[in-house]
Amino acid sequence: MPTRRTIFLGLAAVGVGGLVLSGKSDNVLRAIGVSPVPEVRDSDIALVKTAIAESNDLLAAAIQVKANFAASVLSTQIAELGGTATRKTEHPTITAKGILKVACEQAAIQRRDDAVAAVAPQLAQTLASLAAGLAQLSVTPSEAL
Amino acid sequence: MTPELIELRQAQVTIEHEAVWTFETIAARSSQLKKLAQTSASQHRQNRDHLNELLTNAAADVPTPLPGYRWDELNNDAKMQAASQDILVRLCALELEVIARTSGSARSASVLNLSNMSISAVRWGGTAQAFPGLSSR
Repeated sequence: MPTRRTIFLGLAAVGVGGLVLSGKSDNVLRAIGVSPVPEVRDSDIALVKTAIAESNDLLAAAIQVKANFAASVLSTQIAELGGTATRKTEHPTITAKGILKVACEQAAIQRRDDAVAAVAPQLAQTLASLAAGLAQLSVTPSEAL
Repeated sequence: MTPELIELRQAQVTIEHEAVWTFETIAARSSQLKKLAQTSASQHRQNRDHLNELLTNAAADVPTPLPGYRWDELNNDAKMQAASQDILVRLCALELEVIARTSGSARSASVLNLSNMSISAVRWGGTAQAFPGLSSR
């Protein structure tokens, strides 16, 4: 029989943000009768909410500067984190693709710190991968962004 | 280190040996990709040496390089780029497993390495992904 630890590590990591937000990340454990199960930490919930909010900010900027590829990547990130993509199409300060790339780099640095701070191992993976995706956007040529 | 983490580190070293060999081979064969390959080779030599040190300090076996790798596949720039991306994808997947099993400074180093390798994948011709190394539901 797998241990609780191996069960947690065996779950698909993407989508963890939504489970964290809903407080249901232990549903798999409950379903197979494992008890007690760990509660979702408030600090983890805050990390996911912040990541969604900041990615939505970047998404609005990407739409404004017509960075369609970046907008697609950011929309996927937000959805997989359990958020809803913004309907905003303007950003007050990010007015060019070059500035968007710098903003993605800064967001990647913050998400890396968040990944280290995350309590749930799966959330650490998700935030680390999110950071890596943002870092990739920061080095994507502007014409492909 | 736990036995589980030692196994992961050993798997990383095994691929890092392949990475160093591959990037050094590309640097020798492609004038177009030489500079990028040299940079990548240097980065992965550092990674390999760091992992070797971790395993040695844990009194664990350190995997040695194979006599050779898929040299016959590296006969044009497109194949070299594809091989490089393949190696980086495999290393990113392993790094994510390490991240789930570490904390503090060890996790921080792995998180940074994941980002660096993901950036490298783009420089080798890959496209940005929403969640490098992870699959969707």
